[in-house]
Parts: sequence; structure tokens; C-alpha cells
Amino acid sequence: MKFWRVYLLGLRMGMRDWTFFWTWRSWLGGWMLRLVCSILLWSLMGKMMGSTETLRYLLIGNAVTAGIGTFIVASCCWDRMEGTYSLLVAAPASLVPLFLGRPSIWAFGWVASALLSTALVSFGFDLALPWKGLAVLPLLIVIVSVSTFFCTAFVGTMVAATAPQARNIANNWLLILFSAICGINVPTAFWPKWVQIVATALPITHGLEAIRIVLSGGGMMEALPQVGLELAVGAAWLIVILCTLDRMTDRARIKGTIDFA
Amino acid sequence: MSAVRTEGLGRVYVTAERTTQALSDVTLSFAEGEVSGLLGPNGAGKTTLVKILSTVLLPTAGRAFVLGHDVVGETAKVRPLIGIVFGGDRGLHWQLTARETLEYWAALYDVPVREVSRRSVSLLERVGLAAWADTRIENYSRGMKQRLHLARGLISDARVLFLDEPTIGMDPLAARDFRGLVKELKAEGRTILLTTHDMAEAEAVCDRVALIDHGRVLAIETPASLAQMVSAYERIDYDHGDPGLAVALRQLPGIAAVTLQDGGAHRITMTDGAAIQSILQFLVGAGVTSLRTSRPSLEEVYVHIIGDRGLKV
Repeated sequence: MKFWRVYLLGLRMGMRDWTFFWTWRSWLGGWMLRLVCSILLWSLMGKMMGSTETLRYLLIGNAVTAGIGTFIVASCCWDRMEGTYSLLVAAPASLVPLFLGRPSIWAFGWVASALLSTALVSFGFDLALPWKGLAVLPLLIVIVSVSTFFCTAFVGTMVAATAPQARNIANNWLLILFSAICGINVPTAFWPKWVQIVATALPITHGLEAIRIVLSGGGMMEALPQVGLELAVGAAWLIVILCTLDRMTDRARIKGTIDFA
Repeated sequence: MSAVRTEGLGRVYVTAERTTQALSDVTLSFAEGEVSGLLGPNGAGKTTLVKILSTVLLPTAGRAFVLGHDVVGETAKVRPLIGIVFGGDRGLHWQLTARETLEYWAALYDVPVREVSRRSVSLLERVGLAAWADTRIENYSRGMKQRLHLARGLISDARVLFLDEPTIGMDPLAARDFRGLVKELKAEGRTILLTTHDMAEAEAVCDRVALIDHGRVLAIETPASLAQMVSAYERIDYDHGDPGLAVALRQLPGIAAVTLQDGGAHRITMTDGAAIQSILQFLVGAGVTSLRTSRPSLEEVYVHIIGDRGLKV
């Protein structure tokens, strides 16, 4: 009860952050336009390679993950920037629902971004995606978003406790990592074995594989093992947050890196 | 029972470049219901002490207790008992309204849901923000933000309040109102520890003042007692046109200085309070008809004890 109360009030603050950043017009005309341009850039590369299969791979990979992974690390650090972090640390409540609540609004935004991008790309490039696959796509995008949220939230809480000034760099590196090795632009099989193992522990990898299965005509049962793995990866990152958040905060208390306002 | 007690408290900051002793062997005790001030220049260790007491920072030596609970070993017991109030613009979520801010912090302090609305309305009325309850904080003036800081610090009904430079940047009227609120809180039996540079503030609201410099407590006294500590520096202001009188006065025993003040009056500063009678007789004998004696303000005590460090930290 207490957890959800704090979580929901954190989420409400996230909504205020959202409206501080975006109007519907700027979200559509700025954010979505940027995402679509990014998808088109990757897809043009596929087109230049002259392979329909590659073009389709890049379009689906970039559209269904459009926006996923953005803003969370920065959002976790905003309390440091606002001078409220020390007040949160000194409050009796657990930091876990706080750090899951406020940033989670951006994960809702990911789902909207990815669904809208997929719809635009699907119509724009006449991908002829199967209806059965499209029917489960929202659920799969939600699952990918949730697992990615826990992973990025872990990085965000770590950066907030140790080096909040590096929040944007950390977020960008994370996005590059996802983009490079999680199967968005390059099949995971391309990479050396050890990179594939790293990718296995990251979000998106398994969920995207499941999405590719259902969007290429495969059944949900066929995709289920990958869905299970994606959920397991998300749960593992959540456990990492639960196990480390207090320790990271205590470390900041020991080192004296928490500013007073 | 002491509301706040420290025993040999110390804190060292270690970075790659340097090691800084921010607090050293600080032993002090403030009683429940007392308004206490921590007075000192920038870098003196005031905020470090408050950070330790509010569980945000761990000490590297000694112990600290709030209402009998160890701030390191019993953190979970200390946190519900304390409220922290910052000065200045930071420490608030600007995108929220005052009402939303109080609801948020009430949840973090586990204030019962049915109680939150009543308490928020009451606090906002008390700090004069009821009419602005649903306005985003980004639209508030500095004084309004400061009052909201105080309301936020009180939402948990904290028994011990730490006020860190609470009136910094406030205009004089807002600062006066704020001090009035502090006095009300004291009347309710709350313990208040405030850090400040402002001598007038410390004199106006504090029962006792701890002077801190270089991480050490130099003195803990009432504002009046601190003034007495330098009663030797008691001064006499006189109006007299003859500059030769100032020269003659400087030859008398017990006089530290005779200086010309703005407005033409001279100020005699003494090194020995017992000399006052003979100096007054000398002035009257020299034909001075307008003179005043006065005690040093806390500001002068501060300068005398800590010295003239200026901006050096």
C-alpha cells in the first residue's frame, strides 16, 4: 500500500515532468518526427544495400524499439539537479518506489512512440505485417519497455548516487549499446560469442526476437520462450535495483557526495 | 533528554586532490524545545553537522543522537522525527503545486491518507500560501518558496527541525515574518536547529548559539552571554568636534581604539570593561555632553571570536 502510494505520487510527478517538456504538438512534431527520421536513416542504409530483407529487418528493429531507453537515466538524476535528493534520502520512505515512480512515465511514452512508429513505417513502406502478429505487438512492446525500464532505471539510480553530472553521457552510451548489440540494427549472431552473452543479459534482445517472430508470421507459442527470457531479464534488473539502491545511497552518504540543496 | 547531542563528532572528506577536516571533535547538546543557532562563516562546518544529524552524511568519528536515537545505528528511527528546511530556491519540485508538494512529502513520511488534506490546508494557511495552493511553484517568489519549504518540513509534524540558512535571499519583511513562524514553532515545543550567517536572525530567535569555525565549536552560549564574553569590547560613542580629545583618549588605560564614525561621532572601544567609569568621567570633564554606551552586537562578537577571515575558507 505504502509502496504504491509513493509510486503513484512519483508517477504524478513524472507526468508533471512530461508536461514540462512536451505539449502534444511538440511531442508529435518534435519527438516523433525525430524518431521517424532516425528510422528512415537506418532504412535508407538497408535500401542502399539493395536487400528487401535487410530493409525490413532495419525497419522493424528500429520502429518497434523507437524511443525505448530514453530519458530514464536523466530522470533518475533530476532530484540531484533540483536539490531534493538529500531530502529524499533523509525521508523514512524507501527510495525504490520513488526511483521507479517518477521515471516510469517515460516508459509509457516509449510504448506510444514504438506503436506509432511501427504504424507509420508499416503503412509508409507497405510492410504487410500479419494481423495475428500486430494483435500481440502492443503486449510485446510493453514487455520490452518494462524490462528496458528496469535496466535503465538501475543505471539511472547508480549514476544519480555517484556521478549525476554524467547522466546524459551514460544514457547515450546505453542507447548505443542497445542499438549495437541487442538485435535492432545488427543480428546478435554477427557478434563474437562474449558480446552475444552480454546481449543475452540486456533487455530488448529477447523481446525483439519475439517481435520479429510474430511479425514474420510465426505464432505466439513459437515466440513464447523469447518472451519468457525478456521477462526474466527485466525481473533480474529489478532485483539488481532492489539489492543495490540502498547500498549505493549508503555509499554516497559515506563519501559525502549528497549535496544539501 | 537532549533533542540533539553529539560526542566527539568528526567528519573528514577525502578526494584525490585533498583531505579536508570538515568537523573535528564536536561535542554539544541542545535541549528539547530549544531554538539553537549554528553560526559561522562559509566552510565552517555548519551544514556538515546538520547533514550528519539529518542522516544524509555519515560521520568519520564520534556519535550523534537525535531524541536519543543514534543517527548512524538507528537511522530508521531518526528519520520520521526530523524535518529539514532549506533556504533559497533549490529543494523544491518546481513543476508541482504547493498542494501536490505537500501530498508528495506526506506520502514519503507515511502521513495517513485521510490526514493529508487537512494537514496540507492547515499548513498552507499557516504560511500564507492558501491562495496559491494550486499554482505551480515555478511561479512563486523567493519568499513564497521559502514559506513552502517550511510547510514541507512540517508536513510530517517533525519534532526536530533543521533549518539550513532559512532566510537567505529573503527581503527584510519576509525574513521578519519567517522568524515569527519560528517563534510559533518553538511555542509548540518543537526543537529547532538553524544554521545562519545572519547575526540579527540568531539574536532574534535563538535561545543558544554555537559559534563554529574550521569544524570546531568555539563557544555555545546564549546570544547575551556571547556578547558578555567580549564585554571588554564595550564601546562608548560621543559627539565632540575637537580631534585632540581623541588623541588624549588613546593615552588612557583600557582603551583599544578611538575611531571616527559615519556622521561625525567618535567610537571608543575598550579592552577592559572596568575602565568605563574613568573614561566617562574624562569625557564629561572634557566638556562632552552627548555620549552613549552600548553592548556589542552578536555580529561584533562573531568577528572578535572568529576573526577577520573574510572570504577565506
